[in-house]
Amino acid sequence: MTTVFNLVLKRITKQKLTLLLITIFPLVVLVIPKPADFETPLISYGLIGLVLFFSAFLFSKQIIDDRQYKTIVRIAASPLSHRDYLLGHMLAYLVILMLQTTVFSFLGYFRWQGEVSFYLYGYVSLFFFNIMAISFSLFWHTFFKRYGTSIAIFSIAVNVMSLLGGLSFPLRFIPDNIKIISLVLPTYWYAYSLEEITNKDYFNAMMALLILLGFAIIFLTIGSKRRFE
Amino acid sequence: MTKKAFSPTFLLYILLSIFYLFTLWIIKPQDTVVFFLWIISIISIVLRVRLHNNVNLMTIDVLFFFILTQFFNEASLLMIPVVLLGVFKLRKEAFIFLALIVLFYIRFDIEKLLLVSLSFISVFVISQWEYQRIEHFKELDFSRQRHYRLEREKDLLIASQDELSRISVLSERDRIAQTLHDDLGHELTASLLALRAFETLNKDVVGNQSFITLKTRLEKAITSLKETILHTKPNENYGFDRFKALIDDFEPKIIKFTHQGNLLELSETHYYLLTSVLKEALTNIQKHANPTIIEINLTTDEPVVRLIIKNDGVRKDDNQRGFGLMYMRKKVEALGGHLTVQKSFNFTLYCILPCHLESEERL
Repeated sequence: MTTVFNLVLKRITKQKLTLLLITIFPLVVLVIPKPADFETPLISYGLIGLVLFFSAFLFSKQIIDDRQYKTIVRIAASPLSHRDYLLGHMLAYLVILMLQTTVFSFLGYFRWQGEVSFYLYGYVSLFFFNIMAISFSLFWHTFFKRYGTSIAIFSIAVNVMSLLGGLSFPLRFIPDNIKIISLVLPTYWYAYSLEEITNKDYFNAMMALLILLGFAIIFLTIGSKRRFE
Repeated sequence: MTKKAFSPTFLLYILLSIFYLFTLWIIKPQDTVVFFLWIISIISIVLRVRLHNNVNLMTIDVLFFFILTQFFNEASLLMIPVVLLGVFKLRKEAFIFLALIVLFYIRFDIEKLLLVSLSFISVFVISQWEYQRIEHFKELDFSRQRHYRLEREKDLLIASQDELSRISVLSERDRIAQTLHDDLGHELTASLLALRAFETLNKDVVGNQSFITLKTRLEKAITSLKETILHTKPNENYGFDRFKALIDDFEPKIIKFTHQGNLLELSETHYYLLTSVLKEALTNIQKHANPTIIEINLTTDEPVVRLIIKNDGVRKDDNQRGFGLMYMRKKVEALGGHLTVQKSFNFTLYCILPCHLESEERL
């Protein structure tokens, strides 16, 4: 697993411009000010969620590329288990996303000020959200043969998910009848946990994170199926 | 891909997804805990579907949700997908659970009862479809296997036909050589001897040109006949010689061969078949047994010829049935014979052939 992990990190760091664009550029969400009637920077946290979702998807391009260019067949022939291959990839992506999250949370604290507890819980929420995002990308890729088609439909799907699920704007602005539909979206539960942290209802916030983890397990179970084409 | 998209399993997944959404619509979770249970139910289903061997664990899932039903009434609906999956796999216990659910939990609620009944009927129909599909594939596999076996048998039969005609040619050549040697050869030699006797008695014919020519030509004819016989006579063994050579060449030398009756009565086809059976049996012994002695007995006892091959090296763990013996049995039976195998402490093969083969009668 360590071999794959190192290899994936090496592959990612080779594309310096892409890496910078994926990790540094999204930090512009830090520029967005906190509205006066908001206790916490919910808008920025929602948007960084969307950005991380896209980052996870862009990183996971390697997995679908491996399949498209038949590298996966050669990997399957090598003494490397599919579990190690997947775990190595996912851990490497998680490390990079968590780096991005750490920088964001740290700078966010200085940018918007407020209670430290929100930033700490926000960090934990982002951690679970990152796991979900990577699993979702893996799950999403299983339905497509080519990266082009995959990302084209993903862009539409994620935009709809972020609109309904409270990433584009906070959950409190979403009408109740739409909330019933967005319950089935994992993004809703990330936004919900942020909302509950703001309301200081930590039990519900943690339940929301567990639900996110549940979503991650479902996506991972379906997405981990070995495919060669 | 299109075939895959319309498989019963795919339809089951769609049905389960619709069921989950419908369940969500019915229970309208205001509480995060209820939604969390909903997620747990999906996880259990996804794991069961993804890791096929865990279907038996559904009892635990159902019990888990059954206990939860005491605290959250909505949990009763969440155990249904697990039961539906059991119904799809045609597990008996799934049907019992289903009956219990209908009896104890949902009997007062028409909405839920309708949902459960509809899902059950749909899943049952889908499972029957899947079952038929599996049966169809099994049948297809069986036919394909049979087809390949017949193809192989056909090839072997063609090969054996060629071999038999080659042996017929060899035996015919041998017969011709024998006739030439016994009849013509003897006559010519006798003529030459008579001519020499005549030469000794009548000294005046020694210088006669016609006499010298006659003698030289007769000598040449005898030499030429000897060469012809030598070239016509086949070099390789066939018939009983070939049968015996197989026994003599077998390593290690543990074969005890006995024979009774007039072996000359047997035709080339007999020897060809007996040699094939012996060859197959010896190969099998070398492959699958570890004998200390092999007893072979060939008896001609009108109206049957009997070949018995017996070895004491039966291996307990070896239960595979060879294709070779099966093919041999077919070949022997085609000519009106029988081939049987007796496996106990010793492994004995009996091959019984009629003295007058059906194929020869036809000819």
